[in-house]
Amino acid sequence: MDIRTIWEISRKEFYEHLKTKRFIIISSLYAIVFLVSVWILSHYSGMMALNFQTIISNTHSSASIFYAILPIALSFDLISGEQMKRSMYLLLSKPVEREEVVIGKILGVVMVICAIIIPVSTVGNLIAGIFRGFPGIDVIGRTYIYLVVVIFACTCYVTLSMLFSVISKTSGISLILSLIAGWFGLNMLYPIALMYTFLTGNFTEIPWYARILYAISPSNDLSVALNIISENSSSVEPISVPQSIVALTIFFITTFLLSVVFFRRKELV
Amino acid sequence: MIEVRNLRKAYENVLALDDVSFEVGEGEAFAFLGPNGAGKTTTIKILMGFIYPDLGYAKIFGKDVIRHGKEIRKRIGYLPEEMGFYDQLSAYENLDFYARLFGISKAEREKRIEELLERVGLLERKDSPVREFSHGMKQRLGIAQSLVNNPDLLIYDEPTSGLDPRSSYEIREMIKEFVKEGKTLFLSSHLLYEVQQICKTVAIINKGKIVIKDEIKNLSRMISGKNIKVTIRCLNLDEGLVDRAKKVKGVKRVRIDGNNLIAMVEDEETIASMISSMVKAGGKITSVKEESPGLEEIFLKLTGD
Repeated sequence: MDIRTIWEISRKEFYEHLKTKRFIIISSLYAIVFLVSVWILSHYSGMMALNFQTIISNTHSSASIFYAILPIALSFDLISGEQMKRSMYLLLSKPVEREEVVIGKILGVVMVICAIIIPVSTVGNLIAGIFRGFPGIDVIGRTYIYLVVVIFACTCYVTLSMLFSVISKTSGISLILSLIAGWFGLNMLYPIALMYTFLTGNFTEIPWYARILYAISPSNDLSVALNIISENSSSVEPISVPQSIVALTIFFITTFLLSVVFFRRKELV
Repeated sequence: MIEVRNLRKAYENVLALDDVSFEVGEGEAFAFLGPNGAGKTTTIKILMGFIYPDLGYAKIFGKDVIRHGKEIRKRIGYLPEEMGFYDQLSAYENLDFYARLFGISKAEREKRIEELLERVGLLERKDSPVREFSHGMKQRLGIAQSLVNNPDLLIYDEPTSGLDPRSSYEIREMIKEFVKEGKTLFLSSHLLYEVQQICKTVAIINKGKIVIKDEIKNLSRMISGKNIKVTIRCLNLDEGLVDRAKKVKGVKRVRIDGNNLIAMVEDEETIASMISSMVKAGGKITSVKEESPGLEEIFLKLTGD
């Protein structure tokens, strides 16, 4: 594997995405939702007795839908799209390995996500700080640690969409699979498991399989990871923060490896 | 340079390639000729590593295309039949991206890309996004991207497909130049005149099988049963000159059509002897035309279509 090749592919992916309408629209929406949310919460924070951590935590929570939509929108056609418009044939006629293509493309999308999420969050921190006073470096540090988890969760959605993009014949199918199976479907697993437990009548505590099904969804893991910002959060989650990080890691490794394996075996007919 | 042995490839129930074998030598202009759906693109896709054969193997530069694909592709220029570029990027940016994948230095990249864009007539549009390009312009850009690494081997799949006559002519002329420059050419086409103009060697594929592989001139001879048809235009053609021509050894049939003497002869030596004999008898010869069977005739005869 050649790092230079991966870098060139990710670099191209990054610049190409910055010029797409879908990136401009979704990232603008994200920025508006995030910044308006942080401004409203900061403005009325005196009335609601909210501190800096709670404002940032609630803002991320209200913008959390974008942490699934943004990566899916940017990556559902990474492979299928290139195959449909036939640019994949030119790319693979150059001295590149297929795994370099997969890694380069994922990296390129993650770079784009970072380019929007980090600045918007930083501006959000500034707004909250101006209204509620800037907290200590440890609190600000925790908001950025959470941001790293956000980017990691986004990467999980990217690898999931990449997998669907590899196995789908068209970008439309890949998008549907990414949205329904990947995003909505994964979030439904936990409620279904709880319902099953209730219906079978032996609900004393959250069963182990329900915890696993909860952890499968990156957006669930992300809401657990909000406890990184607010240490004394009163919310009770089925899994702990370290467990959510482990779950995200397993999710990422699995979807990434499957993407590489399927793409290596894929025939570009 | 290219060695293909016993390739077999099936798509579900359709046998696309059936025991396909051929070689292409260094510096050769090789045509892969066949009707649509004959298996030409499937063969190329195996050579490029896009699909995998069920049986057999393909080697380029003596290396297996599956195991050493990346190494091989460093020395190949590929032009697919239908291609797509990154529409958001300009012509220059597209070429720059491909050149970067070959690890070409910045200074070298800038020089080479400018040269290539000039060569294919796109220098003035180098900063335009590719989405604004016509089919012909994209095809030219395709030619340029295939040369970005200064390859030893060019693999072109139907390079003039869907182009207007002028663009087709220009692209054919460019390909002829590449051959003159010493590059090995593997040209897949269903256009007989295109193949005849550019290539010396041809393999004809039909229904997934190689029907024949030889030099075009040899194929002509084979089809015409070793006879050459020659038309000699003579201003003062008369019975005496015709008799002289008939007496030359190797002349099989002679007929007259106005000022033209049309003969079936055994070989090119016979043509020379016949001309010499007629000139000695006072014949004023203005032109000699050797008419071998065209590739179209060969193609139809061999594919049985």
